[in-house]
Amino acid sequence: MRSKKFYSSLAVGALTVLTLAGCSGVATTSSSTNAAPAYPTRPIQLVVPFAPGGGTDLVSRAAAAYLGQKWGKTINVVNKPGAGGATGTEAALTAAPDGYTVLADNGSSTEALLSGANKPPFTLKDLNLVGTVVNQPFVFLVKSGSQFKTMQDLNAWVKANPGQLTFGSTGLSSVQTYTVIQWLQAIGVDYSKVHLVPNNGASDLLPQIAGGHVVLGVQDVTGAATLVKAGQLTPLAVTSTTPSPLFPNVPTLAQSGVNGVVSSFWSGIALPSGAPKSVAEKWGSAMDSMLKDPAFLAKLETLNAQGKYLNTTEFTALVNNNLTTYTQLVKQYNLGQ
Amino acid sequence: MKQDKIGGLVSIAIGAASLAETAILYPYRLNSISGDFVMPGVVGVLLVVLGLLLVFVVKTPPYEIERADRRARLQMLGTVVILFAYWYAISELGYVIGTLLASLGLFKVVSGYGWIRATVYAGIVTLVLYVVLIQLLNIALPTGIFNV
Amino acid sequence: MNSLGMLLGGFANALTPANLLMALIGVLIGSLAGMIPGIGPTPAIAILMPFTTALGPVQGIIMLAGIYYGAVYGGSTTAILLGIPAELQAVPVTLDGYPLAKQGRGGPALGIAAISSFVAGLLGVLGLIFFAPLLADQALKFGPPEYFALMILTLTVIVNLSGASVTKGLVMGMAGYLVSMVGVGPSSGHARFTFGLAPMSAGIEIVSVIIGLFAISEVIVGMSSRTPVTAAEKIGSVYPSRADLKLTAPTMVRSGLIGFFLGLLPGASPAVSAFLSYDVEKRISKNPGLFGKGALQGVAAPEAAGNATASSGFIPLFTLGIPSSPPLAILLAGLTIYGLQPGPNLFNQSGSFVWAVIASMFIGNVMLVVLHLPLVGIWVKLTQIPLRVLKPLVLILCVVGVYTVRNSMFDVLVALVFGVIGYFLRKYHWPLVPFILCFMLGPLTELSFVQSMSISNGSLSIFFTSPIALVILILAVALFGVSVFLMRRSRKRALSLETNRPDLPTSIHTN
Repeated sequence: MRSKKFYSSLAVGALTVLTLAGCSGVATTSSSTNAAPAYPTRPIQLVVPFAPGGGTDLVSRAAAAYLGQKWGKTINVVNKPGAGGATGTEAALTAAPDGYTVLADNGSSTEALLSGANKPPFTLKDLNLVGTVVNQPFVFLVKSGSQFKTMQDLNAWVKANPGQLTFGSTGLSSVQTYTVIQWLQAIGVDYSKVHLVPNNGASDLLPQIAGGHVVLGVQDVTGAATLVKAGQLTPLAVTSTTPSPLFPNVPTLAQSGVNGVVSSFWSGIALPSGAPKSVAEKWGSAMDSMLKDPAFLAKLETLNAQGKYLNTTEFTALVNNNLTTYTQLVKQYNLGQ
Repeated sequence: MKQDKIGGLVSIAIGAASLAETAILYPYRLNSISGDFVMPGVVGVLLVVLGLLLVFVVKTPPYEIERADRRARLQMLGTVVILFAYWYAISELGYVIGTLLASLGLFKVVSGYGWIRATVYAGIVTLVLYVVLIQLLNIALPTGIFNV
Repeated sequence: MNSLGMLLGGFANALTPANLLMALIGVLIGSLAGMIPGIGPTPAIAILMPFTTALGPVQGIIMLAGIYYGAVYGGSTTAILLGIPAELQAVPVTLDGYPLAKQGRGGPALGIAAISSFVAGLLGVLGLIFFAPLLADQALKFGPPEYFALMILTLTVIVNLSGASVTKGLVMGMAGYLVSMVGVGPSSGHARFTFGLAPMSAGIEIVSVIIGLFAISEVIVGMSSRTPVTAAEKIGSVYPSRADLKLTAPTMVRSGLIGFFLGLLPGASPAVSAFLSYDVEKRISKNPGLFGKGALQGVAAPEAAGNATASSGFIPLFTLGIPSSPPLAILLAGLTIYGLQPGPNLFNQSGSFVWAVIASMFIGNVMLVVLHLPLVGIWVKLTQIPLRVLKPLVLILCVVGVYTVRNSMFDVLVALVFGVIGYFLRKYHWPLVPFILCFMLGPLTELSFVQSMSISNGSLSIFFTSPIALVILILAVALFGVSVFLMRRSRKRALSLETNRPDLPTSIHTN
């Protein structure tokens, strides 16, 4: 009787110890703090502050697969959607800044979010913007077969009938709204006359345009590509300074007589600003070569994404520049919350 | 039934809260009848009206209320406490340790096993979950202060 | 009939032993994942996709299709056997499936569920083959006003599913709307009902609510029940009988068609179809009182409709590249990685590959039935695992399942809170189904309304100038009126029965 109890306790003890021992084998932290410690020594978490399946998510997964293979340690993509990207960003920033929690962000969750919030959940200083993976322009989209064959057609019509323009956007302080506002400023139309139709993203917006319910949509080229190629939507102009490789025949806004529109959509990687500099540099240089690797670029092409690496200096400059423009627009048109 | 009247009062209360939120949101409207205030407004009004109906007008069909005995009540309370402790434990101690402790507690309280059997079962459950979720499926679960 | 020839060619490509094995594994893993409360098709595909990319294109897609169908079906298994819906579209399945299981007819219920899924999937694939481009174009005609009308129509379902008191049902429905509004307003981006708490601004995840209300509270309520919950002593036949099949066949086709057409709409969700078709079947049934107590049609309808929507969702996916639901978005991602370019030229450009994909989907669907019908016996044995072991296990799994949806401990907390709330709601007979229904519909209802108002510049007439919207709204009003009338009549009848024959139990006093 007594020995039975004794042996069962022993078994329980052994089992527990075994379990804990097995678990701790997974997590070995590198505790040395000298220059350039080994990294990564364990799996990395890449936080994507959006739902799976979207543009940034897919690009981040591709990058995670590539870099994970290169470094020999898995990079786990973890989706934490909510509040336009704020939930995931905050989660990444409040985790331990040891370089093993990395943030995948884009223009919406960074400068657009910051410009519109009167109580920003974080500031640009909290982020170490390491580099971009994609940087692509927005494209002006209308329904195929509508009266607008060129951007000039649209400009003329809007000038004559501003009250009839409905455009889709994910919110008052989204990059899409800012792009439209700048465009209207450039052609001399009063923004307060047009109608913003809110939506939850590309898969909401694009069928609405294709079905003729909404007149105009401003979408990044990746999200637009499928329906344009399907012949449902016509691209009128792109917001970059040179035509996009995805739509080589579509003129830029400047070529269509609209000047001064600052707008692009980037997806990139950021670290909490407290993370070790060596980690940031390692990511930076790895991303640089990743975006020169034809295999990875081909993968991006299947996703209809335009890969572009901007290093941390250029990246930070771009974001700051956008933020200034957007904040000014928010003040001017009272778009803040 | 009388209890439903209490439900009616609750309905009025949350309806009022909804209307309060409507007032807060009204300045952010898109135009006079559209904006984020519309739905809270409609829902708030309906909740208040329905609550008033429940309290004063409608006689809801009667039903039997099951009264649990003392042992069952303790069991339920214990389960709820353990679950909330589990939630806290996962964040602080990590998923593995949290699960070990919580399943131990649950096997004891819910299933009524003795300490030894409960611990063994808890260990097995934790081990299986660890292998399947963390090793096989690579799901990222919180690791807490012991980094497990 | 060139399409048919191409399809056969696709089958030739897809039907190899290795591929069939992949399909089998996919369905098995998907089913197991789908059975864990909280893990539905979306997380299942997201988690398992990295494994499939190691395989070649055709094999990978077959496996993905298997996982998808498996996950959708897996939710039904726990819904029927344990009364725990692992995802939203399994909720209507619980309503009749669980009572059936308690009566010892869990086997036939599971079998009917599998067969309904298969029939619906078949309809979906057939529709895809013959009608794809045409249907996709028509679906684009559904804009915000039409969606809003559709949401109002779905609302009328509440009347039927409120149990004894429509007033309480409406209160729960409104409460569901209220909770769905927590987070950020769709048009202003301003925080709503967040009480200043940061995690609330991300909104309340519906899976947390489902798990809390239906799974956790179910376990807690089970503890308080004086009558011991007996797993059925005698299982009886494990397979559906011929009579069962005959009874449910019309339901399968009807619900399959409803689900199919609803699934064409971008943004359609299998859950909406499941609820609507359940309601339709209950209305036109000769024996509506049986629904909620163990009507096989009550299992067949949501299964068929849900799976039909899931399958027909492939049509806008392929022809327009628009995923109607999150799992399809991930599936689309998986497909684009293999080089698939959705669009009307899809069938011209990628030709044989596309047909191999369609064939793979079909195979996944067939594999589902093949796998599950023989396994029904094993699943049913699950119910015979002593509850004292099962209960803690279910609770532990609920917690991890909810966590994996958004990787959020806040969601777990929400589930626990709703578990407690659910206990009290059940104790005082407040109906849960209207709550979850309106919670689900809330965001789309509100967004469609706001969008319509923006398009029409604040004029309500937009709902009446659109022919489709108008028809749907009139239908909704008519259905509502008919439901209320029928309820009053059946209540009068039951009351008169009560006074004349007090020995008979009357159904109005049950929830």
